[in-house]
Amino acid sequence: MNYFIVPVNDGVLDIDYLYLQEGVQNSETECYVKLKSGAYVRESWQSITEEQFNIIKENLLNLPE
Amino acid sequence: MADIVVYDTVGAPEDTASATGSLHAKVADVKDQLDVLPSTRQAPRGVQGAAGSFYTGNNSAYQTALNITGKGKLVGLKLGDTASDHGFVKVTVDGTVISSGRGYNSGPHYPTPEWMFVTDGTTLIYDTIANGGTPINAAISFKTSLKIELKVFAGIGVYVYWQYELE
Repeated sequence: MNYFIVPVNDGVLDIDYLYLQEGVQNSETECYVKLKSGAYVRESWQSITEEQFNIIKENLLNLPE
Repeated sequence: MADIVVYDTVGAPEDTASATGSLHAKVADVKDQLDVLPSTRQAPRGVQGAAGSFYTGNNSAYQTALNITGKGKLVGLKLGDTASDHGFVKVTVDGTVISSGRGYNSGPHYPTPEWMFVTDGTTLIYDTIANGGTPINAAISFKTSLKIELKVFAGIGVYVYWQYELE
């Protein structure tokens, strides 16, 4: 699996959705994604670790009401 | 004499399958051929058959969780949130919105009778048929595209899980 931060434009991720395994969007302009192998990867995307990805997901699910 | 002709035509149940034999033999031949025909819907192939998920928070506008093109079927869907009624999900098939409503507590999931296909954008998906929803317990086929969008009523985390197959 590959983990990246990808841009979001008008609510749409800048990816080929066929390869999206998991997405965690914590802002209106960027999204943390886990992509399946074989996905096209842009040079501008920031690579992250699985641990960083999981932390973001946990934080999102623990947002106060 | 007539009995002999009928027997020669119909044959016996134990006749060996044959395209040119008795009626029993021909039926057995057809059955053998049907047994080896491939399914019209092919099994998922690699990335073409997939499950996935999308989480979001702090967004009042719909965010695109999934947007694919091709022919296939949506075989599973689940909406969840960390507080009641805060997640909204919209499912668009071939350019037509088939489901647009609000989640409820632990989250409805499809296919189950609790996923009501309301399309007004506000009615609880987990709600009564009296509100216009229709329970559908079958796979949703799409010919050209499938799109799933998600938004949040307030600043909490909501998520949607999906599973689809492409032909």
